[in-house]
Amino acid sequence: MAASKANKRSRAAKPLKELTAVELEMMNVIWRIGPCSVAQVQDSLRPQRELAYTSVSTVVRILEQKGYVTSEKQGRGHLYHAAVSKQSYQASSLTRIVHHVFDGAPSLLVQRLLDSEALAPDELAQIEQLLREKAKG
Amino acid sequence: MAELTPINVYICANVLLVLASALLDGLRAVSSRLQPPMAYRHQLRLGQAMALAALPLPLLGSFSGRSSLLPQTAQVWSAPALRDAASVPLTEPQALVSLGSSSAFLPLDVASRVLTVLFAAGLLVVLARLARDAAATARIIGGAQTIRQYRSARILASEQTCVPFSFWLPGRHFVVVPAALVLSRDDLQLAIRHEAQHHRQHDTKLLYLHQLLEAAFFWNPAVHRLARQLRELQEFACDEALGRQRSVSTTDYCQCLLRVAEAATQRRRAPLHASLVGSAGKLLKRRIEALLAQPAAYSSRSVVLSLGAALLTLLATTALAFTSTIHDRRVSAREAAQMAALAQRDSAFPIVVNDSVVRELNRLISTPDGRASLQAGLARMKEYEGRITAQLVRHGMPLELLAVPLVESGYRNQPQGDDPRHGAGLWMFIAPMARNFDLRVDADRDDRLDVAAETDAAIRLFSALHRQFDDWGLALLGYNAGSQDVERAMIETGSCDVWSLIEQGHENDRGYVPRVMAAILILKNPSLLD
Repeated sequence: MAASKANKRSRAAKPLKELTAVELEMMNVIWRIGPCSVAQVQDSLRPQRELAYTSVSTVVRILEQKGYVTSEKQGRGHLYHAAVSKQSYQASSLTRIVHHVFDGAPSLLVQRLLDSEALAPDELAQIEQLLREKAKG
Repeated sequence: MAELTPINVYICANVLLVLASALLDGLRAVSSRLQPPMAYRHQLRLGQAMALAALPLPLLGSFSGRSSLLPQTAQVWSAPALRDAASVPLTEPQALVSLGSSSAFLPLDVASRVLTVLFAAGLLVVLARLARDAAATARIIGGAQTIRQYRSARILASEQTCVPFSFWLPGRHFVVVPAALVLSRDDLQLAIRHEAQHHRQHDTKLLYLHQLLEAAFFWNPAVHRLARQLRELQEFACDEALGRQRSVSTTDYCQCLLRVAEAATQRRRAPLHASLVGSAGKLLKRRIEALLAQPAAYSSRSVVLSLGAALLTLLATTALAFTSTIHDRRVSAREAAQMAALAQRDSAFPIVVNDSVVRELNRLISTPDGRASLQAGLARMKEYEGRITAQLVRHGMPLELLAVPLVESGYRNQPQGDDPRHGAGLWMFIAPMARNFDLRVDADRDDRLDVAAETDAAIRLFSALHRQFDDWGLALLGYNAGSQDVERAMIETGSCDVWSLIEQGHENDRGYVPRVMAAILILKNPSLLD
């Protein structure tokens, strides 16, 4: 029993695996519409993406194994909840990018963002505001 | 019982695998010309049976009566046997490679060391590659997500592979598909069916046999070819099985193959598993052609079994022919003692086996030169054997004395050379001794070349020596060294044991008595020279 608890802890501590493009697409649906069934995910992807029910179901189950969603039995099917918030996924993705692409220097990422993205004046103002707030602590 | 050494088993297995590869090539070539061709499933089974048989068949030699069907001129003699044989005129130990009429001598130490190092290095490289591939496969399976599970079978989706593959561990069957394939329901179904068919055909289990063969015989290109042929046939047989299922559209299946192959061109294939697209390229083209061509015929079970039996018989015969490619005919002290005990049953002559006798015996029988010389001597002996045996029997002498001329002259009735100390005739009497026994030896006449007369003299001499010493060992020593020398040695050492005298250096020709004992053992066990 103790061993199984330890296992659960170590599994929980493990960093989440990256999402593939399709998995991210489905996670975005679940984040957007909240707890939903496979059929709802399938519907939400249409008409841009016509996927078979079994394909969507398989991908959602992969998401469950990766720890991004949890499921609960509802009637004859399952209802899937996001186990990871979009914000924390964004944060972990950024951490990964900073680490792997920007040599662990977040300032480089900000610099590249400012260089390459055409930011509107209000967006720039928002960023300045955020930086000031961050500096105040 | 034939000699069966690991090196001979290894060489024999190599030969069988080369043959199996050639036979499978032939089988596939013939089948492709048949209308309709033989089913790939059957070709695969026959190929696998040959590959499987190539490992145990070399052991067949241990059950055969004959040591080898291979002619002596096409055998390689073991280096240790040659090293032990000081009688072979080699300045240093060398490996004799004799094929047909040509033979080559290699410095033994250099040759064996270089070969050992090369083999060990090659094996290390092969095993390292195998370990790397196994680790890659383990990584893919460990990082994959389970998308379905049926009892011991798990269907996994992985982002680390771009081709579906199947893999087996005892009690666990895996089918791994690329994560991207999950979105295409039909392709996913076909891929899973194809990979499940690999499990059904036991391809995933036989993969271990292929790896074992390719590792153990890594230097043999025929083995790699055989493994490649079997891998190809596995794919063809899988395609064939799916093509026969009504629920599978051949066109859809071909398109699926093409799509997966297209994805596979992006990355290298992990080599440790059976894969949907195999090595792609030309093979893929041939697979699609085979799928679209006329369906293969399922030959009747009896035809396939008969063909299999014929192929295995051919392999078995070859195994018997190559049982002992490398010869090491040395006998152990224990074997020699057993032979002596058997020979002693119907003889009063004391046949002694000790280290020096075994050494002399092995000098005579464990080298090509020694054996050839003995065989020639035994062939010449046939001419005189009847007459000499009759004389020995008439005088109540042991027939074991037939071994003396074999050692003395090799049954060559030869005149004396220029050196007066040399003997002549079969028994090699020196002139003064011959005259003591009333044989005339002068410029006009040499009675020693009269076989009957010289044999009579030899019998009288042995009779006198045996009367004097009452021991056949001492009599043999006296025949070679002279009775006076033996007497002197007995007084000096205080021993009347011939082996003790020999040990203390009281010999004329070194190893004479052990050599005669060895020759007696050979006369009593002629199979030693087969």
